[in-house]
Amino acid sequence: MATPDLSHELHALRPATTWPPTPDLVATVVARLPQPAPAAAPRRAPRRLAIALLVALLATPTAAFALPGPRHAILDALGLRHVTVERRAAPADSAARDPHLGDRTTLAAATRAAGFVPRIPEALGPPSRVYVRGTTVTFAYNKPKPLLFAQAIGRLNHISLDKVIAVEAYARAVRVAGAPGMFLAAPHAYRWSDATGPLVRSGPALIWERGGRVFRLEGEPSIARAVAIATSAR
Amino acid sequence: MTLAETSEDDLVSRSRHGDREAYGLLVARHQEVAFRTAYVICGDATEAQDAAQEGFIKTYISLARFRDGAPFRPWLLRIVANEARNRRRSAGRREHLVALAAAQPDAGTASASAEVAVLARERRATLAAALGRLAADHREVLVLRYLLDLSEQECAAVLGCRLGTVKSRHARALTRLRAELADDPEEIAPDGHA
Repeated sequence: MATPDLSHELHALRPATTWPPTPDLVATVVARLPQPAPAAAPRRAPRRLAIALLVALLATPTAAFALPGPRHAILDALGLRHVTVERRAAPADSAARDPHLGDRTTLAAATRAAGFVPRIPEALGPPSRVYVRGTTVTFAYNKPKPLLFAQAIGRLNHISLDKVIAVEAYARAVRVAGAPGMFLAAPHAYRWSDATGPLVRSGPALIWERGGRVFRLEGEPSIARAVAIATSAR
Repeated sequence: MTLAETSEDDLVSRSRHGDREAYGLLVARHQEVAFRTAYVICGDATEAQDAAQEGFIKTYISLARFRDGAPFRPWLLRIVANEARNRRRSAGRREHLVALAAAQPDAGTASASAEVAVLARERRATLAAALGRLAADHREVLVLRYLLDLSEQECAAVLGCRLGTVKSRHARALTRLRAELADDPEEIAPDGHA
């Protein structure tokens, strides 16, 4: 064995070593994982994961009111069990313009922080920037137009059922590769349930649920194009 | 508990059953050591990235054979190292070592005097140069053990040999390194002074 001083000298080289930057392999590797799974054992049933995405429609001129009963019927009919919708009287005035996306980070760091591997919409490709706030990961794109693509997994006790209203008049039900969603063309506000910031003003947005996860795409005014982008996020 | 808080054993189990997100977390946790291990072997960042990527995918495929409760990292590093060796051979066995201590003039000596810092830097440069002159198998075991801080078991997995072989190769490598330093005009004396 080496004398202790030589081992010490070698250990002392470690913090002084310059390595090439480690590439972010998460998205590339996950995208290439083959099907089926390595073991033939059946995959456990997905846990009922709930995220409450609070959507306050801004387009209504009426005063705020709540309909505690119809929430399940309306949103369940849409298939959006983890989204709550409420009506407020012109809350646009108080909605923040800063989207409060959280900390800018790398995809690998966002994966570690959020606890899941974010889906990347193939139609958009790798994001220009990655942000993480709590368990919500947001991709920002500059091209072909400014877009935000956010996703989150939450817990059941975070769901909010307050101030629920009928949404048919303000939201169009859509299907994203068979998964339920709704498209909000009018300006509105939203807040992820695990975020502590204020309601945030939003442009046209598509919201959908898939695999126990809630997705949100903002900035694409065309329903067809928004659904195409959403479908490409696998 | 979120997936990020899940134990490694559970992540491996979920991955084996097709949970791609769980495997993505394993990739996030181990991509740095996988990439650096590949870099030590093939000496090229691009080749190392490819080796690490292929290694992760082959590791996923091989999870059906993974023994419950076994440590995941040695299993992964063995596969990544094999990928890196294949690329080293195909690339003409480039002998290349990580840039070492001389590139970081103040590393570990932030509170030392200027004179001490200069001496420390020179010692590191001398040691790094001697390490670079070793045969590849001796250099690899020392770099893996000391610069990557791998365990002897992990070194054995990366080098594709038995634990006893790692121990003996490690000892021979240190003896050889000591001889290199003795031949160096700026030898590091046993008490750590030039």
